[in-house]
Amino acid sequence: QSTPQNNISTQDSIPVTKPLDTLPGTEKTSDSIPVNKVLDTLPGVEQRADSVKTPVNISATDTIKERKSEPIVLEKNKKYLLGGISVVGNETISEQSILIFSGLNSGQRLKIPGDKLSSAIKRLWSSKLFSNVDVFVTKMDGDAVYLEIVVRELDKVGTLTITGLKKSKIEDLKKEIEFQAGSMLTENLITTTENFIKEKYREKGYLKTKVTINTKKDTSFPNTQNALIAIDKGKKIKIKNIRFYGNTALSDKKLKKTLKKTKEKGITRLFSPSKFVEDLYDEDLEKVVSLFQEKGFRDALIVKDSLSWNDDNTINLDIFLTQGERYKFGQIDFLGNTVFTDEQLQTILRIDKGVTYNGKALNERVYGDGTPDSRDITNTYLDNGYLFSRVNAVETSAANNTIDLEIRIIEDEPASIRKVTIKGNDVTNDHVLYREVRTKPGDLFSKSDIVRSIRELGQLGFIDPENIVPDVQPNFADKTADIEYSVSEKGSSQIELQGGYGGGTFVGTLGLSFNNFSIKNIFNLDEYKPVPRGDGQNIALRLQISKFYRTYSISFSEPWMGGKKPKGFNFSIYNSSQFGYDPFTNSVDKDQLLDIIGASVGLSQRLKWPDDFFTLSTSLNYQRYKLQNYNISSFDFDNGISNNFNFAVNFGRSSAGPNPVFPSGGSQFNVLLKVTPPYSLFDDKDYTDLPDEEKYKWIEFYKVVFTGKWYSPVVGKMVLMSNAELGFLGDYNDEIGAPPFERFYVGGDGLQQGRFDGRTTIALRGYPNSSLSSQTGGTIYQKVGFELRYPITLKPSASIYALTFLEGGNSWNEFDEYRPFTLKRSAGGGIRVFMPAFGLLGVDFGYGFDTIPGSNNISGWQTHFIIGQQF
Amino acid sequence: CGEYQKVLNKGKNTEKYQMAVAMYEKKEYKKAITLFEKIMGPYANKPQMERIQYMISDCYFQTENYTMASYYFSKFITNYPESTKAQEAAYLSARSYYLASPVYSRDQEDTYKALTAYQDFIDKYPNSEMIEEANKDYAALNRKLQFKDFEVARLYYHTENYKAAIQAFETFNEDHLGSEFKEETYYYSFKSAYALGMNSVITKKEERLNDAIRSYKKFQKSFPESDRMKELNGSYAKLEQELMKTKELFTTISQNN
Repeated sequence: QSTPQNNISTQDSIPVTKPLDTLPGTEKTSDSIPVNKVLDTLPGVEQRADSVKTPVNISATDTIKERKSEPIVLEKNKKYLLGGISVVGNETISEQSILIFSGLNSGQRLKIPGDKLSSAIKRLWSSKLFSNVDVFVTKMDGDAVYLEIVVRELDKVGTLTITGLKKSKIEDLKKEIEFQAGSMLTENLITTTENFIKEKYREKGYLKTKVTINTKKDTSFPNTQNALIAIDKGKKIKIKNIRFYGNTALSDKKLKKTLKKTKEKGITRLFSPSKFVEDLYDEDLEKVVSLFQEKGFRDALIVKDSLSWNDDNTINLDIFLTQGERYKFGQIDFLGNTVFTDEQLQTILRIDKGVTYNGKALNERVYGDGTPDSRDITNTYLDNGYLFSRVNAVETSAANNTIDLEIRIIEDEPASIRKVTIKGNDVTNDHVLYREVRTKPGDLFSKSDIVRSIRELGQLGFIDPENIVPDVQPNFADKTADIEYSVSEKGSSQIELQGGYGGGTFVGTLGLSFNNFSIKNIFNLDEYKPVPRGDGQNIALRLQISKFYRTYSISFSEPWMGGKKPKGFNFSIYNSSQFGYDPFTNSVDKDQLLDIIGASVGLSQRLKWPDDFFTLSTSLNYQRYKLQNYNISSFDFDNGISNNFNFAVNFGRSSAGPNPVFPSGGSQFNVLLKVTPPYSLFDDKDYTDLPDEEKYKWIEFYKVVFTGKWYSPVVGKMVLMSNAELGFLGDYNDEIGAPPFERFYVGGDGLQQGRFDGRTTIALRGYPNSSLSSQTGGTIYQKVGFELRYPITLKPSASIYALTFLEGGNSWNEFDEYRPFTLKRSAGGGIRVFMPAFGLLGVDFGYGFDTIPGSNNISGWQTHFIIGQQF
Repeated sequence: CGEYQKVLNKGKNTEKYQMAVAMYEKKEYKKAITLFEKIMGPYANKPQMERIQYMISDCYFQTENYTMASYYFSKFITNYPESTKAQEAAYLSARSYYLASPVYSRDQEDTYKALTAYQDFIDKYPNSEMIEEANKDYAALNRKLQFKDFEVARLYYHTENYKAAIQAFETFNEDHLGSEFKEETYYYSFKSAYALGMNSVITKKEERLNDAIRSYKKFQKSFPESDRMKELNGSYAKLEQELMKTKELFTTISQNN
């Protein structure tokens, strides 16, 4: 294979060389330009680079004079042969490059003056490397002309110094501005940099920022100037007074409140400091006008606003307005509607004759308020296929301060969807995304289907919900529309490394979770980037270790088993070993062992009935407990094997949302039923006198757990979460009773400590962990709670909310003991932080009002740390 | 190797340049890339840049980093359209996009870029000896795009969205005239219409059964010799039978009223 070095150095592709080569001694001026030198050294590339550095001694003005003395007459519209081009005045940029920039080649034919020549000059200018570009004809030889390009290179910025700011701010600013070491020093650069810095500080309220940019020739490098940017941001300018004139219907106080970003200074102003930013001020003024319009003053106008300075470097804003007359809504007629009746449209418009005119409400209900869930006439048509419909509200009369309206509707034909495409899926395979999209070819166009598709794609976990952009391409001719969704994928694999304090010892967790796995490609090495991805499957490996127990688990799930319907399949196996542990001496006895092996296979599906928020999941589970010198207080045997084979059905409905971290509406409830086969009904054994190891060889029980949560907005952003739970563990055979497994343990933070015995731990703040159940656990539990939540921030990067709670719960050993109204109560408050990388973290302080069983003292204050779970 | 590190960290630009070329010639492409990347800035306006850009493009191509290779090759042909290497670069740029183009079921941006690049190459160098290769790749890329659309349509069939499937197959044939998948689209279109008709609610059944029969006739007319005719004839008989039953049922209902 021949390398390009050979090819390029022997080729003739560099245009100027050839004609010059073949020409006999050219005239004087070209001799003085080191073109020939370049030619000589062409084969050796390095030398050529040196030759470029050779300074040119001719200044542009000299050559111009010389040129003028030679009379060259050019004919218009004649195409000359370009005999050769030379370059003068270049210092750091090579002649070759300039010729390439110009696009001129010797040997070509061109008019002088002409298009090609002027575009060559334009290109050189647009390279932003030169402060001046001239082209001269140096010689004519019959048909051939020789050109000379005279350039003056722009100076570059050498070193850049910024003064007047803190060191860290200077570093930040250096990254933001275009003014960089090495940039070409144009007038434009200086002006834009000055303006950029001024604007930047003006936005922060420094209205009197001064920026001066000085440059100085750097003698050690050619064409280089060192720059000094001196910034004097001055004092932060605050607003002393905001004064309104001409408002009678609305108070000054109300209007000042409307200026969201422009505030008078004050001691209490902690979160929105007083500052003046012109753009924000203009936006605020528009808000004032629209406030008047909402109150019926349709013609309200800001006549004038002025800014004046006070002696103490503060400013006053004076706003003069006319509010005009107050208007009412008059007759409203709908025209052109055939699909919806006047009554139906009126229920959307919700504006009655005689009420105060409200321009904002009218706009929002006719054209939409910009949110995806907007309820307005335009969107109603769009949701029902009428993509080509147009809705217009027209004022027909304004007599007697009463506005008569016509809502003119052109319905057109409904549009159907022709084609749906998705782009941007560099990892995920088409079928994983297309199956979630609700807009299907052949369906009527529906805006709400698009909104729902976006939501469902976003919920997949590996598509960035903020960056799903639908593009609707309507086709008026055949009343169809093509829809293209652009998506962008986000990292979905998680490595979880957790440490926590639970059960009196440190618990470490290592988890690997791959959220968009492709099991099909597990043997395809090309797909390992770093793991095979793209089929929307989930695989998770987990390892949890504490001083006295170890759990390993692996699980896999496929949301669309068989790819036909959204029926999820999941599978998991795990092993957990637990050693004897004495919490008082903190010592571990490895001779005592409880070893559990488990596996489970499950199916889950979204239901269409009663509504599509319901899910049904079923699973088959098996656990094998092996005890070796291991004492569990609830049963008599220390050595033996116990098997728990059960079938579980979980029926749930979740409409909580829209934000999964901080739901502000909807509800969530679940009914879990878990049953084992009733072995004792089929064998004729007499269980009364059998030892525990025989009794529990194949354990039998049924378990029912109900949990419900309701979210309701209270005031503003505050949300009330109400919660109720009830669980019962029953037996088939009184001689055996409820097994020591699968029991309920109430109290504390509710963190699951290993998968010891299928137990359900129920959080109840204000009490120590599991303290409200007997040591062997309860067979019935009940809990009710109320939690008021207030969001501090709900940014996708981190959501934070504060909460206070009031709750009560208890557990009982037998059904006979069950007293639904003797609950252990507690109250308290806390905070939650959700970050996608860490999950949910939080701390709660709870006060337990009641006594802990086995003690006479009330529980009092308890602190709970919350990792990765909700209450 | 020590020499390489020394030049990389402390060498002058000219040394780095020479070393990069040497590495390139020794087929040490990764090392050459590191050096080339370092000198791209300083050599920005120098005549050596032409060679540098070509060599770095080729380095990326040789190391199978086709995304970068395609980027640099296309940059090269824009910057140096007159270079003697321009034709080769034009081909390699297209070829890089071709090799970077992923499996049909993922985003096809690179496929579209490859098609444009091949088209440019074929237009500009119709007599190149690579024309045959280029045409072959071009056809393969086209087929990939068709297959993508076909698979999406078939997904609608597979997920029992039969109405969507019928529309998608129809759109497919509008968008890809004379496609090699035509028979299959007709086949699945019929299967969708059949399933839609047979499982239809009674009020729409007759209309949908008739649609399915039309779909059958369309297939029969276009592909009478197809191996699938036997299966389709069987389905057709069932459709006629079902249509008869439906009509009878309707008569009974209307008589009872």
